[in-house]
Amino acid sequence: MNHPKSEDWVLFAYGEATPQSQTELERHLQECPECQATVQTLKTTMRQLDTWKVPQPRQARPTFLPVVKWAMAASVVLLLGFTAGRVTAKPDATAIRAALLPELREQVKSEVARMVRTEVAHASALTLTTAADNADKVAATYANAIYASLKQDVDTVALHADASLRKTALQLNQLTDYQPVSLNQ
Amino acid sequence: MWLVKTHDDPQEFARLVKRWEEPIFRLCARMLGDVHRGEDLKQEVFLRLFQKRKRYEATAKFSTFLWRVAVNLCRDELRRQQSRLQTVQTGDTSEEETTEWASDTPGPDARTAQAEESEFVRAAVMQLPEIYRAVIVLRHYEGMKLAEIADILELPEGTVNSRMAEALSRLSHALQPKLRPATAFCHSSKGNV
Repeated sequence: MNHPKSEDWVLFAYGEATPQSQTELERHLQECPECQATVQTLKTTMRQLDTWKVPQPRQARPTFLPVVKWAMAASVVLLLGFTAGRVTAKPDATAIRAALLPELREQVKSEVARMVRTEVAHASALTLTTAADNADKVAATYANAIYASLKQDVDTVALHADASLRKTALQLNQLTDYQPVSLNQ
Repeated sequence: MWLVKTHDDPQEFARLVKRWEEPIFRLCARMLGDVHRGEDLKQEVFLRLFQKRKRYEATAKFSTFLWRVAVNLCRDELRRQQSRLQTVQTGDTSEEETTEWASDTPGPDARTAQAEESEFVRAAVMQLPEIYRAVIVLRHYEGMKLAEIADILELPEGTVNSRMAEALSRLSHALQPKLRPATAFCHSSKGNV
């Protein structure tokens, strides 16, 4: 009996035999115990080869990764420090108003003064004194109205800032499990 | 790879590395029989790939190009190892296979039967000459077809298959006494069907 070549059995074992060759090899196997043992040994060797496992490779890391890691760590520290400072500081709406209002007053004064000069320049039916008096009244009215509006805006900003800081403090406390700092001391 | 060649696109190259680093690592680790050297050589492969990007022809399969670079680097490294070994040869041929399977191999007391079998297989594959080892790694461990291996190694398919048969025959003889008792697979051209 002619037996197939070992190369044929390798093709057969790896599933690469042509359909015609596959059929002929299978037919031969049914009739040849010697080739059955050969194929069995071949498959045993293939199974043994499968026991050699290779571990997962280390992922490729760019050389700048340690620098990035340090930068990120530094950023986190800075952020925590900044936030801790904001949390431990007493958000004071009054202080915010006190800081903003003087500048606002100055801006209002200069704007109103400009408006008054414009009004005076266009007055024709009134005497200079009357016009000046009227201008003073107009200036006072404008200044009061604008100041009241701006003060309302500043109050709103201060309240929002206060609420935002409280919310941030709570969130940070949840993240870090620190005891919440009382903001109403 | 075309974008890497024509535009030196780093993002595209990074994508290539991510896609191919694991199989290339497996090839290098098995060809060299060492995980750490395999890791180093894997990085060398991608460095060389980038250096050779201008030589890549779009008409060729990229995978074939990459595998060929990797196999050639493995061969070069094996030749360097052989050259180093020859300078300190003491006559004991067993020293050629002193390469340990790196830190993933536990100590003798902790080894399981499976780990021992794995080590036997590794040692047996490392005993194969490089021309047979390459075929076994590409065919059996990477699951490539005969035609693709022939392209990579620039050999006729018949030669690849013959080397595969010879490699399996040698492995069968090497593993049989240590593992399961079985009739060794003999590589011989006994005749035609």
